[in-house]
Amino acid sequence: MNAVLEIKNYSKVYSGNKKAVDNLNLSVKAGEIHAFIGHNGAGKTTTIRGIVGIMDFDEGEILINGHSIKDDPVKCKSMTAYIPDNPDLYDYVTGIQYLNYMCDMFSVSAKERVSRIQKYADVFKLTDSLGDLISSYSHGMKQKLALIGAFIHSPHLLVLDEPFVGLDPEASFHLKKMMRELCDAGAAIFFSTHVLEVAEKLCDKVTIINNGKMMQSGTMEEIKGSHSLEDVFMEVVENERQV
Amino acid sequence: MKGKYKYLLRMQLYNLFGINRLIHSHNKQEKQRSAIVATLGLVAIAVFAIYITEFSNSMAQAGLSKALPTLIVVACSLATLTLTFVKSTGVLIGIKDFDMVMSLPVNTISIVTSRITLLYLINLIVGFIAMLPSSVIYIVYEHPPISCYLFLVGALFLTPIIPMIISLSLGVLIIAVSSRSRHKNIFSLVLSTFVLLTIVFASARTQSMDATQITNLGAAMAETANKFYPPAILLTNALLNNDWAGFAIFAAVSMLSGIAFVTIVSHYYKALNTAVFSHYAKKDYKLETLKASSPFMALYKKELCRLSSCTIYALNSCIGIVLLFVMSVAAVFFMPSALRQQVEMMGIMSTIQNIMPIALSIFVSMTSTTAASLSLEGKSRWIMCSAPTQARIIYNSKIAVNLTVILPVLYVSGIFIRIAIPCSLLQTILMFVIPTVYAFFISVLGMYLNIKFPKYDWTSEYYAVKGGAISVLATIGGGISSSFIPLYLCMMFPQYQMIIIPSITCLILLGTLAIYHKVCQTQLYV
Repeated sequence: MNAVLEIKNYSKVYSGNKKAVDNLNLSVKAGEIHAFIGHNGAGKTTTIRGIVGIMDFDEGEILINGHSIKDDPVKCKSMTAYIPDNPDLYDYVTGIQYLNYMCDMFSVSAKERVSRIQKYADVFKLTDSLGDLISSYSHGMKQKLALIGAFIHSPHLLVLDEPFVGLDPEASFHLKKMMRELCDAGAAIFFSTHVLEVAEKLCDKVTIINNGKMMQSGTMEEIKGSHSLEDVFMEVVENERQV
Repeated sequence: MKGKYKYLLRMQLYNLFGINRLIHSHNKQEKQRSAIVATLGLVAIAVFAIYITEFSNSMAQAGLSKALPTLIVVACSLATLTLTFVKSTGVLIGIKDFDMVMSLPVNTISIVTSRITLLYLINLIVGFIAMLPSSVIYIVYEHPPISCYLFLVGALFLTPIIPMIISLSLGVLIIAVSSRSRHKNIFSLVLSTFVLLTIVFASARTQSMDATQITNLGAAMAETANKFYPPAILLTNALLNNDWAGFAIFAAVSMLSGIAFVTIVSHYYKALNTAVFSHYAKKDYKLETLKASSPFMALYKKELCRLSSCTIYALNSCIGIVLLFVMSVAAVFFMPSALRQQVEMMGIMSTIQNIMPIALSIFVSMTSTTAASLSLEGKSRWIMCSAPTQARIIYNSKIAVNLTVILPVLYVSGIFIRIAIPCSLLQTILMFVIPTVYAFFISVLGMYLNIKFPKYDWTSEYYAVKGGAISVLATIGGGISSSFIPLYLCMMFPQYQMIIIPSITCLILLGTLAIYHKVCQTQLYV
């Protein structure tokens, strides 16, 4: 399987000399769901922002299907879907206007967009509300709309920052199913989460990051062995603290 | 209550001038940006203060120093009235941190008072700049009694209150009325534009004095102020005639109106905000065919939605072109024939015909939606930044919206003005071409400055559009200077008008191309 996402020697320094992310290397192959876990401020969002090309970086290389996010950002972005941890949407447009906008930006044909919107909006029970302004939506509804906007253009790489926060149990169930279906169709998913049980059940691979440095990375079986992912994570963090 | 009010106010002040960011940010670029913002702000204050000083000084030298107190009060009141109305609602009602603030263990009066105090402090700064130089010149020329010093200090602090309350009341009233409508943003925009035009034209009327009135300026202004704004007379009398009772009444009326306003708004604060935050939801959408557009068109349509959905944004950025339209209509239908004859008799018709393109450009250069367009992306800027499109397309869509706002209105206004003022073919062509160049210039300049000085971390759109939004101030300042300087040169050297106007237009065009080139090279990151 080809690597959809490759991160090579990625480092990010914000200000001063402290590295938010320090020499990160990992790859996500087609068909894989890759969990990215770490405590608050570990460098997860900084890495994700670099991957999706919304934050500049000085050291390293990030490739999406072999294209560099630095040299060819438009090509990379056209293959990627991203949802941040708190997806603030355009409150002044309706749900359908937002989805139509996303389809225009990702060049989804007029015919295809209707069927895809229908499919995903029905799954998340959002169809009836699509004609209303996003400002009238609850937090969970906005989250669902952002997810539809991400899935609608069938991305090669789906990058999610804490996707399960704010979703009701039914929507979480559907999201997990949709993630697996997308990967089965040949895409790759890279997502950060604090919900370790979900990561353990859903993901093929996992990377643990602490203070900007990669602590462990591999298949779920390799990383956790006979323990739970929570035990492994706590052990890694505790060892690092002692060091 | 007092202690918690202090905390609420302090938190507001942290966000206002960016001082907190300057102190605590470890980002060098951000510190540099804040330093540039502060410098530009100080320069703007200095220019305004010098202008007021020069104007007051010339009045005093012409023997009109007794008119200065009236001038002080009227200038401060009009500035407060206009500025507060334009920004009132965004600071008081519909703020993003409403839920968080209202959940705190503080009473509503503290919250409302902290918000109004913030507006008062901003107006106080404007008032100080507008009033202090004139007050000093008045003292130097008139040597008033010691009581007058007390009145002047009192006036500095009290004068902004009543106009501020009038403006805020109008803003709150518009919200209360428009919140009942489904299309509340459009309704609010129309009402707000109407009120602002009324304020602008009323203030223009106070300045449109003929030659006889100018020789008796003090009396003319006092009469106008008396007609439109009675509290000004109380203060003027106090300053000129040492009227303690008048000053006491002025102080009492100012403070009582402030207290009454805070009490009333506090009572309805929750209801007003609930009305603003409650949204019409039908929940009966049926999916039908959808039209596909290019990324540029998708961005352009989204930008138009943004402009029409935000009253403060539309009102601030489009008022120049609205004024142009209203004035052009007035020129055709309401220009008295006597004035037209007088202009012809004075032999200044050819000057007016020549400078008309630059005069139109002044209104055009006051119109920039681009100067706040990037800042207004706020927390949703991740959508723009992660979209698979070049940054240039995003900038172009924002520039196109400004041109859409300016050009149709400009051309219709140009036709009206051409009907009102007879011009040659060349003058007519220039009347359309030169403001068009300025339209491109102001659009590109606004975009460039907003890229350089974005303000994404706002809690109310007001902060992106006005409060500390240096890109907006610099764009309007740059735009107006670019049209006022050639106008001034044309007035000073009328024999070179036909050299000055095309030369400066060419310079503006070259500047526009250079800035646009720079804009296109800039990448977008969160």
